[in-house]
Amino acid sequence: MTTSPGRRLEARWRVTSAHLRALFLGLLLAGIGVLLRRPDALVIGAPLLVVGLWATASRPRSAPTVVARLVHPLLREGQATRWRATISPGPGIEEAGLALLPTPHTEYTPGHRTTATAFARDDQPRSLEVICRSTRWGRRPLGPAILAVSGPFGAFRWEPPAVSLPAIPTVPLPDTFSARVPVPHPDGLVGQNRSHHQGSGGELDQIRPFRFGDRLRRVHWPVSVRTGELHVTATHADQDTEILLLVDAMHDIGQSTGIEGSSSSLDNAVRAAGAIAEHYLRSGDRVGLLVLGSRDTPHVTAAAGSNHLRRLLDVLARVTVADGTVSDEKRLRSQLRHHVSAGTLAIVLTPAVSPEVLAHAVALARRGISVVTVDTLPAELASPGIPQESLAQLASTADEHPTETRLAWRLRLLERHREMTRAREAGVPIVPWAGPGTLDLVLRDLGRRSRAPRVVSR
Amino acid sequence: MSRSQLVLRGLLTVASLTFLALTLAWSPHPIVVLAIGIVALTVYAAVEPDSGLVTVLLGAQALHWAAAVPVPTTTGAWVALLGAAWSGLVLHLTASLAASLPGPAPVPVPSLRRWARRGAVVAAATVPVWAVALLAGQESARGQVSLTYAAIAAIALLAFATWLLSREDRPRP
Repeated sequence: MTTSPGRRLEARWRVTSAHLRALFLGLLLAGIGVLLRRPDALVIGAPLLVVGLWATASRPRSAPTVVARLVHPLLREGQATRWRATISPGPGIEEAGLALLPTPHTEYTPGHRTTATAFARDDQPRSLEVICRSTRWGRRPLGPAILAVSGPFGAFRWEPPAVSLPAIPTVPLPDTFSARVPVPHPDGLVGQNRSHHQGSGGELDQIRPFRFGDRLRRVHWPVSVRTGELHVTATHADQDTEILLLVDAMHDIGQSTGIEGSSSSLDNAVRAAGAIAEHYLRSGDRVGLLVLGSRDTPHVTAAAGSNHLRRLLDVLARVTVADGTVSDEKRLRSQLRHHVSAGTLAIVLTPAVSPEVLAHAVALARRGISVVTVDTLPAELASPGIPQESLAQLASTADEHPTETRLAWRLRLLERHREMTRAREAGVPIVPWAGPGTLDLVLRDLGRRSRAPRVVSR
Repeated sequence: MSRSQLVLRGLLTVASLTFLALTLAWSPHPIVVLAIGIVALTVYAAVEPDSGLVTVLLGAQALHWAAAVPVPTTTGAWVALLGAAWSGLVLHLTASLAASLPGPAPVPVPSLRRWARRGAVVAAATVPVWAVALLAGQESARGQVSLTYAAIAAIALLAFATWLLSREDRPRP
């Protein structure tokens, strides 16, 4: 990772209230001493006057050079970066302090998010640093930060407005995932999935009599000698396929406390999407992504390669949950009119709370697309008897109306169960997210079904 | 809040209460209401050393002394005056240092050393002023009006010069 160039901060030296206090009270007390003939007032005011005059005489003459930057431009969940301000001191610059305001899902070292340093005469440039560890995917604005440089006796302060650096994207740390079963309809050019067609590949199809055009190195000599006729080995072609990941961001149910804590439904969906994408891209397949309901997340068309994984993770880091407005519903409706190529495997990651998303999965299945739905609702919320402390994750008024909240959630779970049953009956398998092997069973079933005759609506 | 900041603010409180105690000790008629107000301001200044009320606190301490304590005549009163001046200095310096750096961050040791050294220099520079005032008070020499006007003019000139030096640098067209 490269270090960002940083942003040079601009400000002007300003007189502090401490300096005004020293000068004002010093001169006032000296005046009282002279006018009212009170030598004691002069004595009390003398040290203040000396401090004020000393600070004035040694005031900073030039602005310091301060550059603020984040050391890393991109993070993965659980990784840390440094909010760094590099200060080149000048004459009269003595102290500097940095304080960061708290950011959700970020751990700071030191925990109080502040640091300070002192400059000596003719000192080298120094850095003020606060370590920031992002514990959840998403775009993380670290700060804003308040930075101040002081002169002698704290009499002058150089303080730019609150410093806000660009939000740093935190890409999800994908769960572990693997699938041993090939996808149902591989139809690309290169890849590792076994095709239904014969061709140049690694998996044996049959041993058949030699035909004109067969390569000689394919001749199977034991069978040829035994039968007295030339036979060749025929293999299945290896092809890639297209995977379309549909992430349901219409709801985020449950509490997210970062990578080492509990996960919400959207956490599960984003991390699972990252894991599935990583697995299939490494297998040479093409993976596309569509986030349903999220604002400002582009539709990523299917492509292959490690750079594409980076692109997918970057888009996943931008996912925001819909806020339930009419515009979100309109956006969802327009997103659901996306193009799906024949032979695509669509994987829908949803907590199955939005009926529109499940209905879309059913519609895709009726068009002959292989669809798998992954249930991302946290397991502790999927049962009606959820504990009291988990109720607050469902509704903000759960503390005031626990009985009503529990009843409402039970009704919602019943509706969810009914919709999931309908989807299953329509041929859409639904599996809970369980990491490696989550899709194996359903992909095997889909593979069998794809070889059987069926009726589709186009 | 860091330990060093707590120590600084504790020192601020001790200095303010010492100033108040000296005033009450050498005042024939202490102003109780003002003393209570000063205690309340002290607590607030320890919590918010960057506040403008620190100026009010220090001003109230000085004016309380000027209003409640007569011009010192005995050596003990003059020593108490020096103690009050130093307490005011410590109050000002601790509030300034505490306001210069973020509260939760530990104050760098070089800063503490530098401020302590400079504070000692200023405290030492106060002693000649105090000694001259003490000697002048014991001489009880009769003042001259022309010298008083000269002193007023000198303070006015000093104030003007300080104002000129303290002006912020403005960008030139």
